[in-house]
Amino acid sequence: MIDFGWVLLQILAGGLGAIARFGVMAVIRPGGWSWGLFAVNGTGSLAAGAAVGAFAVSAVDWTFASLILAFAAGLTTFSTLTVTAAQHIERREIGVGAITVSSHVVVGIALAALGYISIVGMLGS
Amino acid sequence: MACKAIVGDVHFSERDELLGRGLDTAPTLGNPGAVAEDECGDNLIGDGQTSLFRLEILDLEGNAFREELLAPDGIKVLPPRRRLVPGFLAPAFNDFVTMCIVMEERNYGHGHSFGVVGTSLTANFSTTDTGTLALVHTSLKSVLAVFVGGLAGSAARIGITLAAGQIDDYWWPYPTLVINLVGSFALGYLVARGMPSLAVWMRLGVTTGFLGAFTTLSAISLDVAVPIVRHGVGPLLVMGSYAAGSIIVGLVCAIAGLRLGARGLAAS
Repeated sequence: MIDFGWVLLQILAGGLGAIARFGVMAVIRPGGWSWGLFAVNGTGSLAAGAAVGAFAVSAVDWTFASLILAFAAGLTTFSTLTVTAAQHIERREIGVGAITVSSHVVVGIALAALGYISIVGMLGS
Repeated sequence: MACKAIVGDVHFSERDELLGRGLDTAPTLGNPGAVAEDECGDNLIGDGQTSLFRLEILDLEGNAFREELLAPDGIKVLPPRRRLVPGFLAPAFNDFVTMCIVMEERNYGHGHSFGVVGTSLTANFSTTDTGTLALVHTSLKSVLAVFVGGLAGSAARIGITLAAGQIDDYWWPYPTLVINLVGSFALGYLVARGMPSLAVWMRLGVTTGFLGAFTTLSAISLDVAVPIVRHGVGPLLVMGSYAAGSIIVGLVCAIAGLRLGARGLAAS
């Protein structure tokens, strides 16, 4: 049974994440590197890892953790990343394109792991 | 009136003459101090002599990254009313501006005029101005459009994920993969094809709002990191192949979108 109130809250959190991404990317304008995108993708991955870690040690309930996850999902984006990298590749800057997309993914995974481990380390006993 | 996006080729070679698509002539402000408001709500201030052309340069997601008021008589760039980004951040945006224009100053023998030759995908940006004008288009309408698009994108993503049902602890999270691949293709298509019939704020709603929130990186990060943290190297191969697959197939989808979009633009 799907709790529709919970789904609506998740959707709302995703919408707020989109606004936050828009705001960050409007303020952090890059010089040759997609720093704004990097900032939102990194922050969102870190927050998602921390939320799941906090839930794993029962520091927060699933409702709260899933709202953080929904916000992080709206905050981070994959399509902008692949299209940015694809445009590099179409301009024959294949190395730049490959580094752009893989750095976001690798750093995102590392930050999610960091968020999870550090929260579990701090709150778990 | 003058607030138009430039996507595709635009060209003007003689004073007050604009050819091409996507660019309208701006209001001629013949009276000193005359003020006209464009559709973005920004004021254009006349100096009594020049016709002003507003060029709006779009970034990847259709954000108005840089706006300039250009006077055809020589290159005269009027200071912007809202300057949110310091000039030193503005110049190096070759890697960033993807729908941009290339301006070349040309001397036709009777004073300077300048041509604007633009493509929707170009790495080059050169202009005689100093690159200190950088405006960020963050009107309330844009923010609301991003919010509404973000709600719709989140709803679509959550709906697909719920419809796919529970997925295993560490196996390929294929709903996220499908979402990210579809979103990559769609954004590539829209970026290359352009959305000339939509106002900038509507484009923001579709791209930054809907597709931005629809696709996600945090889910990839989480789906890969947590199983590895919990189970050690066991899930490494499977989750590593998921991450690599997302990257490679995502790039292929984005490139396919860009190429099909460019083809659609050329055909139209």
